Amino acid sequence: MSPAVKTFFILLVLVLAALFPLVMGKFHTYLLTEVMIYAILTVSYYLLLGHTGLLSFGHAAYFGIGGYVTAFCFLYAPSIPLPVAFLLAAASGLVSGLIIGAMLLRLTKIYFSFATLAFGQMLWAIAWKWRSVTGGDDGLTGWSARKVAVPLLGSFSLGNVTFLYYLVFAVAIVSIFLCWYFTKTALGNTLASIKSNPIRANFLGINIGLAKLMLFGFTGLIAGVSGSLFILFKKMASPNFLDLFTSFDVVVMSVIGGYTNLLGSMIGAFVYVYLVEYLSSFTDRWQLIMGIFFVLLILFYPGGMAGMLRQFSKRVGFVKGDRAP
Amino acid sequence: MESQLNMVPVLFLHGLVYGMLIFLVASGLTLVLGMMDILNFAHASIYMIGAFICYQIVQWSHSFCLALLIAPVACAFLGILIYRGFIRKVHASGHVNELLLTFGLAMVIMEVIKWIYGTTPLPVSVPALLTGSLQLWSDVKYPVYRLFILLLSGTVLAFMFYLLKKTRLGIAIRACVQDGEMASALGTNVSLIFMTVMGIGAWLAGIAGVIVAPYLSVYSGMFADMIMDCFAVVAVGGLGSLGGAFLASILVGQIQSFGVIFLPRVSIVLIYLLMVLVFTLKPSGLFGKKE
Amino acid sequence: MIPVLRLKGVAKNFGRFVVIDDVNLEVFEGERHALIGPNGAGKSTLFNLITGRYSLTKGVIDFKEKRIDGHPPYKINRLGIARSFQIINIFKEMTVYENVRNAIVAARRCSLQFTRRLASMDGVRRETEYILDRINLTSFRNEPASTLGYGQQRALEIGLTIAQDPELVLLDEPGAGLTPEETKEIIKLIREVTAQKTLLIVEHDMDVVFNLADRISVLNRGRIVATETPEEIKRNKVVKEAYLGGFFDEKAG
Repeated sequence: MSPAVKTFFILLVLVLAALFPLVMGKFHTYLLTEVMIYAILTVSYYLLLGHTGLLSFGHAAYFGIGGYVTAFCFLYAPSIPLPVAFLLAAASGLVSGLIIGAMLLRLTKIYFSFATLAFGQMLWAIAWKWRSVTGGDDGLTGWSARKVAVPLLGSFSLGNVTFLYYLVFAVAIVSIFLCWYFTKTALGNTLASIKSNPIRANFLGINIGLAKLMLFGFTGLIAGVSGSLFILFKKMASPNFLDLFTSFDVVVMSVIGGYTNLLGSMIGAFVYVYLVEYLSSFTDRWQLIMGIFFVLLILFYPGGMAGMLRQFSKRVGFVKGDRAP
Repeated sequence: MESQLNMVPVLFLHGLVYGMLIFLVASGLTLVLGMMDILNFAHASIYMIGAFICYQIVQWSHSFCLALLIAPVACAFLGILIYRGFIRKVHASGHVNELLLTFGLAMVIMEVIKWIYGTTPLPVSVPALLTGSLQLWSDVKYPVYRLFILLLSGTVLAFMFYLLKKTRLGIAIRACVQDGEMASALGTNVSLIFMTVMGIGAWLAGIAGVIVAPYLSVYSGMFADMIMDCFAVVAVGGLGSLGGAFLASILVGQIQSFGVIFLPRVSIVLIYLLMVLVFTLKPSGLFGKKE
Repeated sequence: MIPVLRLKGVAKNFGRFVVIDDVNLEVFEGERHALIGPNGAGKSTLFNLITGRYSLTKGVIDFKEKRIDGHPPYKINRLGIARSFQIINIFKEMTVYENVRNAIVAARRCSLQFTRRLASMDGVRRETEYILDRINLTSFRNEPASTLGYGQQRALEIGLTIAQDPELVLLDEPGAGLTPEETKEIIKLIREVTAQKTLLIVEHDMDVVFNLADRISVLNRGRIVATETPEEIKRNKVVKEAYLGGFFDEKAG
């Protein structure tokens, strides 16, 4: 696919997304907002798993931390403007990514996955038990009607579904672009080489530990931003946002869309949110169906939907590759 | 404070009982991990299935003994089935996919169980022979059933120890855990050994599931509770090391037992702290293979 | 003359198993030094010790008079020592161009750069294309490395090793598995790319050894039993015993 065609498609999607709330009703606008928030999260996860080959089961930790930090801002320092709260969430994601990352550096493969699970669980347990700060099981609330001032356009309430949509949309464009750009830098390439052959990378003079640390910091940052948007969206902060089910959701979304692919991660978020929405309206057993779907994908289509799309495009001729008969 | 000190021997026994249960499940997990680098999330699911099969058999036949005989064997078959039907298919497409698959299977199994049995705990009564408490020493009484758990798991473990140290099968297994390629080059049928280990591991997990049923009752959350303790044991003890897993199981059992009483607010975090400590200081675990 | 690389009393045990036992070796600047010996003598282990993959049990390794033992591989590489691998160790999923580029980016110390797009770094591109040209793989630049023929993969393996312009080049059986024609090509390539450098090469193929080496050291059972010129080595009785017959008779003779 030539760059021109790619750019065209991207612009098309952006325009459609921008027009979305004006055409579709509140319900779909609400759903798509959730999709975009998860898309930011899964794209940050793609940098870990798809790009560098690190299977983390604790990614929700940074998501949750970003959310809580934003909640703290709203509740204990309400005069802080929203952009600053975002930045603080991003910073908290960055810092926790670096701290936890530093402890994960020497671990590979299975040990790494274990450890991420352990850290995620530990943070969840802290959030759950530390009622005085996090509200424990009940969580934190109180900003559902908070007003946000936008220069030149006036002031909007967080309860305004359309406003929230455009806010998330704007942040999503920036975050996802940054993640994409990250993969194009020398650091991004270094991480890909670490995925491909860590031993050779080491012998070529690459400081693998430092490269990974920078990765952890960056993905933590983006995940923190996503978490920040999430608590705006849900109007609450809860320890559940840090638990292993949320971390597992990130993995499931990535696999559905195709975890080796940045676009796949976004598709995964989209498919997951809509699938859950429609399945749960049919049956209580939607988690079982998702689980079976997940297992079938791994067995037969580990490339996920992005992989299927790629195969389809090859057949039809959009993408250079062997034309299937 | 007096009464708390008095509790120490009892708590120690609790920790031992729970530790043995964890070890029954974790032993299979760590061997499979050491041999083939496969982290089988579904292993803890087999433990849970064992418990539910026990429940079902007791419902039908009122015989705990029957459950103890049948359920573990069923679990062994299930373990081998999971390997042949699922894991082997995905082995070629890499580590990450393997992990994701076993994880997905575990989730599906948990959902199926929730579907059939719901989420409320189901009781299994302690067999008549084993009810009541035994006077151990001055004013320390301990439930007979839990002593039975200790006795049974001790026997099973002694048998395992004998198997591994004194039989040819055991030597082959240990060789495969140490260095699968080498063992294969020396003529061992690694694939067969591996299936045997999966079967034995699943059998042990099934036993654990059966004996835990009267102790902690049977519920769909068993998987989640056991998996984290199992992971802690395998991580702390070292991948592939049974001795390490044993020591770690005792340790984890004691932490859970004493933690709940003496440090109730942080007990839940203690296991994770332990894991974090091990990861930072000695990533390969106490006795694990160095990469 | 001061040796570029010096091993003094180097020993390595794995548990009770002694692989390297009191090795003393000096390699001088600009020298082409071959390391030969029966299988299992410990040649690859020695490379791993020099390049920091394994830690020494005993002894000292100096590079340009400074101790390097105890450093991790990436630090030793940055000092100017590069190695190739006996079993081809390239970035299989990446293209040939990307393979070489990895080496260049690391050599230019910008492997952690995150503000610029890699594609826009012209210096990197130029150096990569230069190396591709030297190893004659320019026409394969966009092919995934795994699709290359074995001989070409060997060339790429050497390419990765010299791409960073190291002072000391360690080649571990660069000719393994090559046909006689391919071996001639590889010898030619090695000569060209190691022209101004110091070379330490492990090889079984005596054609390669006698063609390239200024001096040869023989490693047997973890010890260096002889260090001499090729002519002297051919006549050396101790060396002949080490091979228990057959080794020299086959090839150069």
